[in-house]
Amino acid sequence: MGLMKCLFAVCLAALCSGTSLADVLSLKDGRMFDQVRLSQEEDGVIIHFENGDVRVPNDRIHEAVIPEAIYVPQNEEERKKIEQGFVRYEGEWMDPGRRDRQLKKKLEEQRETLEAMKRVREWRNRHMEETKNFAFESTVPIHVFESYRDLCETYFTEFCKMWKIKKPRGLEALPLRFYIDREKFMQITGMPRGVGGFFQFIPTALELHIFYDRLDARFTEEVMYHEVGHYLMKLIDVEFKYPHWPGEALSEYYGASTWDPVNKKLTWGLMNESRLAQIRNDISHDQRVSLKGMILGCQDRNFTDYSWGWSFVHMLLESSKYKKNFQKFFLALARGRDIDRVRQQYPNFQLKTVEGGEMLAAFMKYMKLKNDDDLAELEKEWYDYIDNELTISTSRGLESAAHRAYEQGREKKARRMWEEAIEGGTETALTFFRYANLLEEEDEHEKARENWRKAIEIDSVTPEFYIALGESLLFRSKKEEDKKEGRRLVGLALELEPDNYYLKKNAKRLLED
Amino acid sequence: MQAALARLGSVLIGCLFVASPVFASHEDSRIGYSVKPPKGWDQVPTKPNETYIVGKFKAGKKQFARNEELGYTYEYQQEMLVLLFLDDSLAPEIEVEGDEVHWEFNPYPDYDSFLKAIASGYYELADPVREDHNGLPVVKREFSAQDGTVRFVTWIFTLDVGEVAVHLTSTEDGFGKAKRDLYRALKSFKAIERTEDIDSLFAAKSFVSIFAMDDLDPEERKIRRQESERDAWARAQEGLPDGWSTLVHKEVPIITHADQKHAKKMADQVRAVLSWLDKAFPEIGEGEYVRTPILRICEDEDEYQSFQRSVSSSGSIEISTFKSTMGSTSMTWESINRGALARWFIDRDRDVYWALPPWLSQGLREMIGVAQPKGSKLDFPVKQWERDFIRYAKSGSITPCRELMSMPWDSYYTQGGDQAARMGESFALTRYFLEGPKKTRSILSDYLVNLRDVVHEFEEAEEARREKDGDKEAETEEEEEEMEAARRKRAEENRQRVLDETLERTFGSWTDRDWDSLEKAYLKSF
Repeated sequence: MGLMKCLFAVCLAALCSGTSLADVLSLKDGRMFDQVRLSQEEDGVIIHFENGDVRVPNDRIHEAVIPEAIYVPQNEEERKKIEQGFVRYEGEWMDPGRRDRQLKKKLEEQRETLEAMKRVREWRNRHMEETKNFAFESTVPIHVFESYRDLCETYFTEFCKMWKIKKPRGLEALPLRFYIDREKFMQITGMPRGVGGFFQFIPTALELHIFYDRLDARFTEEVMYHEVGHYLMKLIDVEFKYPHWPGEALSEYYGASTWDPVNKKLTWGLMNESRLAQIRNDISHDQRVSLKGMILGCQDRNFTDYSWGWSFVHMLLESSKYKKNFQKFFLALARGRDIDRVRQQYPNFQLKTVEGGEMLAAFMKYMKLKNDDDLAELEKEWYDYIDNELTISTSRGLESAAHRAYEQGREKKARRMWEEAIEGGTETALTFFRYANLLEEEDEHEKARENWRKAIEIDSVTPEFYIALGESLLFRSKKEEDKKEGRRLVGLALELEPDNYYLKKNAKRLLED
Repeated sequence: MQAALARLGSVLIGCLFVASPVFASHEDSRIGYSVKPPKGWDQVPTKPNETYIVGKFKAGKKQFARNEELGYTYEYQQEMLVLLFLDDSLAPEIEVEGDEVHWEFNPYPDYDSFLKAIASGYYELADPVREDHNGLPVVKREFSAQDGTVRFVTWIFTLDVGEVAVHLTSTEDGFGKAKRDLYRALKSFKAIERTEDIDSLFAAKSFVSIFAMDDLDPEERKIRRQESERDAWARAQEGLPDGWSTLVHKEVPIITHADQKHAKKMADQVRAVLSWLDKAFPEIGEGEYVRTPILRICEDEDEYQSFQRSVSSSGSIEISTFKSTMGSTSMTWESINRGALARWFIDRDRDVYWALPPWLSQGLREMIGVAQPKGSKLDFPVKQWERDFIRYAKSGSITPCRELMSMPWDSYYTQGGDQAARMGESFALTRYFLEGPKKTRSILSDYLVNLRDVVHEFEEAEEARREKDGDKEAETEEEEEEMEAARRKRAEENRQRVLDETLERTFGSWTDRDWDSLEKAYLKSF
């Protein structure tokens, strides 16, 4: 049992709450609260801020140190022990002096661990670890990082097995830079906001850059599968650049994988619901991507290569009828002697690739398609596969499609999808938050507040949720008690994240009477 | 010599508001500090809306930065910025006039926010060090670019008016050598007595956007524009570094770090272009007052680049340029001409400017680009590339002018893909209309009058449609899709209809023979 859990066991054993100053709390998603006042309850920990209490459920807590938790005797025997001056600590009865010494030591260790976690958030103090195939540089809390590290190694091994390839001799461990959040990712890499991660494909300087999105850890995983997927394709031939189709499509195929960190098991070939939702949207507008066009247009950077391309690759790899031929085709693009490759010139290096006509010819050959009729038949099979075999079964795809629709100004559509996701039982705080933002825009303030409260219920330590609810009460309500509550919530957000960028600019305005 | 004097000037600075006996110091008696930039560094002016950058300097010599990973080298200009993060309690109240105000004393609450906005690809090298320096609390920080090319060293001082950050940059390779000078500059920072009112920092605190002037009548607009001209001129003259001077030549206000002779020559050019536009297009925005642009001339291209390097656009009526040493046909003169063209059209009738068909938009830009004053007139000499184009046109492979004039945007920019030829054709046709026989000149005049009328009619129709539809919102998803599709279609169609309708009104009565004769005369003009 880890250090945290030992201490935590003490806390959990307490039936009544006790509070203390300068407690520490770290969450599984990497957030930390030090020098706060905590109290333990059966199902979680309460952080006592000046502007109110915030409850954090046990399943989100990585470590909690509450040194002064009061133990309540469970029976007569325990009551006697307490009367004799003993205290209970970590399952043992001991004199208070010993307990204090042990507790002090543990607290020091805990603070050291937390300090290390804080330090590692800065790029200069990044955690560096070289595994068999990756050279990690990470500012993500170690306990979060470890799971991704294991995932990458497993992914590497399984990919090589599936494609029967080996790491080229001389290829060094891939530098994988893993940033604590989007802001730091943007700051350090210089990438604009819209980029979720990237793979630098310069043969002499291959690099992966990914950030950790604590509000949407699944997104982080998806990006990691996708971008690592690009790197793994490089194992086939470092100097070959897979064209947009099928390169992005295959990366999306892996993008929908799931990882079981306990059993270290990676499962791929799953439904990429975000992409499927985009396909369904295209179909609802009578837009279907032609198979020939997709293969021929491989250099056009079509966005549909991610969605429609994924569904086609999914069909081919999940079918015993096509899997082998598709794999041969895919490998042949980089290696086959029967395929003409062209050179792509970059400022300081060259890569090889295959262009549209040659790509189509190779596809026809390896997939054993004799003519356009065969291709049309395959296209029909693909459309049927999309219509009948691919289904959206979780709220993930809906949520993602809703967000995209909202960003494109399709508010009705976004609303419907968010509502479906919520009716389907989503537990994603971000979905409630985004849905509430839309409701607020549509002047449904009460309903919006209800959904922000729901977001807070799910994720009680995200300042943005408090700010949104607080601002709604401050500016959309005429009631004085609402305004007061609004200010309290903004104040609470500031306590949760004193460095919050928005609050730095606006706190004064929001908090004044 | 002028440059040497200018450099000497910056050494003798050159406080912003008080004459200082301290050599080599940059002082600000409103904020209450003085700092000595590294030796040989020159002060660079800031843009009028960059009020929070209270000092900007560039090194006299450039460094070379090497990106080892990607294997390339580039020239790097070292800079020193002095940034004021004003205490909230001193931040001015912003008056709102019209419907838009684009002014904020400092859009960044602190140095971190500023850095986030201006820099990318960097990280902090060490924990910030908090100390006292010359009796002031200071936070010392150091950053490095992730690619290992550049380093920033910043000390953030706390004064009674807020925080002042002194931010210096160097290449990583050159840091060892530059370090001493950079730290010497940082260590020179000290508080001085505030003898000026802090409020003078906020003298020009807002401007009314061009859109906010739309509801005024031309006479009222003229008054507002004249006010905004005066305001912009006052703002542009504030805090000028030493070595810079101001003058007005041919009613063109100039802020210059170049010699006055050169400045006047550039002003002559601006005036000549504006006058030519007045005469060439009297039908556009008749009676509208055109604000004379302020001409800002940097000493050289490096200074110009430093001035331009900014998070925000200038949001003013300035044309910024630098002293050209490349002769009168260089890009510098072209950009001045184009700046004047844009300024003139925006005040006369921006709707027409934005609705110009692709051939005329590009043709006019190219034509005005080559313009040079000749006496009291504007001359449009033929450049080598135009001669090459004429040779190409004579071979018969030119797009017929009727086709070029009817070409929609998408086709213009993609059809055939030969953008150089398209540019040549547009230039040639515009030149033919403007410099050809009287008859052809009147064709262009008619065309522009029709374009103006069509654009305004469409604007009115759109306005009426918006009023009729009100703020109609989609009730259902289907409606939402339909409305969005309709909006996109309408925008596309309107643009095309403006083009078609203008052509129809101008050339509707023309027969194929008329077009043939235009075509022949046009080709003959080559």
